[in-house]
Amino acid sequence: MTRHVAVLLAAFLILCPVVLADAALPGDSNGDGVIAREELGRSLVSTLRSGATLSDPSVRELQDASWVYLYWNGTSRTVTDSSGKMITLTRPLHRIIVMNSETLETMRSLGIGKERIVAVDKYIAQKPEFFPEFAGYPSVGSIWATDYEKILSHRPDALFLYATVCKAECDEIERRVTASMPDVPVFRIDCYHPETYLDDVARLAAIFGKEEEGACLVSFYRDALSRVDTVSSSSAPPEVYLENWNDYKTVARGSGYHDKITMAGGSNIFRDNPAEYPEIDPESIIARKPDVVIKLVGSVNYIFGGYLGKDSTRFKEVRDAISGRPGWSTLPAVRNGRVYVLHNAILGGPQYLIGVTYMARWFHPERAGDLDPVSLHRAYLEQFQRLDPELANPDLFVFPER
Amino acid sequence: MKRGYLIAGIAAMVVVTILVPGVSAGFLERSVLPAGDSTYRIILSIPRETVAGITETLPSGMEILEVSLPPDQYHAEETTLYLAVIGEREITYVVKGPIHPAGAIHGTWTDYIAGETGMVSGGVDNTTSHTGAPDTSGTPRAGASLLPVLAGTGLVFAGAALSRKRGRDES
Repeated sequence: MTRHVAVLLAAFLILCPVVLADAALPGDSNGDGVIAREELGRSLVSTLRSGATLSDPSVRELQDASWVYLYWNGTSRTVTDSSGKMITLTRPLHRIIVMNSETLETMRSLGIGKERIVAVDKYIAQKPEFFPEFAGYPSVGSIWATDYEKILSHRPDALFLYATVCKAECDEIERRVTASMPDVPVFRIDCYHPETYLDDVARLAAIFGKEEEGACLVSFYRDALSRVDTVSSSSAPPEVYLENWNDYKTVARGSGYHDKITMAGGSNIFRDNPAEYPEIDPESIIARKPDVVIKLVGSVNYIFGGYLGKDSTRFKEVRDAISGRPGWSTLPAVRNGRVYVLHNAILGGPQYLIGVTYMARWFHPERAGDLDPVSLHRAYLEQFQRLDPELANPDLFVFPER
Repeated sequence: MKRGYLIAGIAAMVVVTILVPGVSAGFLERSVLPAGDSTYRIILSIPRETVAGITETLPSGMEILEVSLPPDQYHAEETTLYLAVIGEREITYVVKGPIHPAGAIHGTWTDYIAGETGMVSGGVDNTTSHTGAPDTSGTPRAGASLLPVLAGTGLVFAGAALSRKRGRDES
């Protein structure tokens, strides 16, 4: 009997969504879990009659109630994060900490402003070229060296971490933050994987009441990827070797990069490797005779170009060095001039649609007339990131462009 | 002396430039339509869907006859009307009394979503887009916003100073 009770209790705890401790809806005077129009109307009139101004703490409660009424139809909002955890919010978030640059970038696409963000990961604060508004912003360290005291000192009302990348580290951060601040929800959202990216957009839109902006962003991605699909599905996929910024380190099925090669209409020559990011024997590349080689840059020994906007000449140097590797002169990719250098800024995170569009053009040059990755890049920066579209200079992201 | 007028005029205009952005007068506008027999229909236009509060202060002697909102969303207290905007893009109320020329309607608004406050602008009839084709010849002027008042003051000062300067130069 006791065991049955324990099982039932455990099942309840697993299935029951996490609800913030401050669970009462603001302005829900009758406690029925809904802010009715009449309730809000009475609160507004009462506040007006009292003469309370926006700086009055009681008005903050009314502002939250107004927001919940307008964006969540007057009820609490339950969101399932990328890890499958259900979190119920009863009021808008005002003091969030974001430790995942891909999520921050997506928030910016949705028009979620800096005024809601109290601190970021130290790498975000060190990227003024892409996150100028967060240059020198309060930082809470990194995923690998988190400053818990700083997290506490910012009194956040939510924390955003990766769901599947650096999972062990993010699990530990969540555990420690939850132990200190049980009322603070920890959202685990990736915002980088093409398979789940648009779902992540919908999650963020739901949390911040930005459904219209979310629909606009999703539509932008779907349109761009549909153009890619038209090209990529039209002819046989070339065999592709993709190497990241570590020499001879590639990708296999299960990784986001593998999915991106497939989306662009390529066939990954190391798709069946058991590891997602295997380091491979140079001879095995030669043996598999790739039609196209893609070298990713932007990290480790290949830090240049991208939004930093420096050393565009290094793209050609890297391409020449790769093409000149011992034994590579026989590869179809080298013989046919199909070795490309691609900056990870437009493939690794939310901007993957730009990198995928470049790749589709490289994989299917004879059918890629409608693909215009430069215009796509400019539109993304201007419409969604509110950044200068001139940053989309192809000389700083790819070589050669075609 | 003439230099003093010039400086005063310029200073007034500078004050206008500095003050007006903080007033956010453009958010919410008021139109006044005569409805016959000393009654007037006041229309408040809200340009976006939001939750806001409006306090309208009417000239003394005016009576509020009708408000387009549900009872929980407004309260009338003598000549002060409190209005709760919950998504409405237009609110109307009907008043009766000597609105013209005795005084003006003054209004303030608070947008609880944007966290902004300001003064209700307008009051001068601009009713051509509304149905009913009101008689605009006798339109009362109520609730003049701060912008035209301050701008006009500045221009008057500057104009006076310039004409005085010219007059003296010619003589």
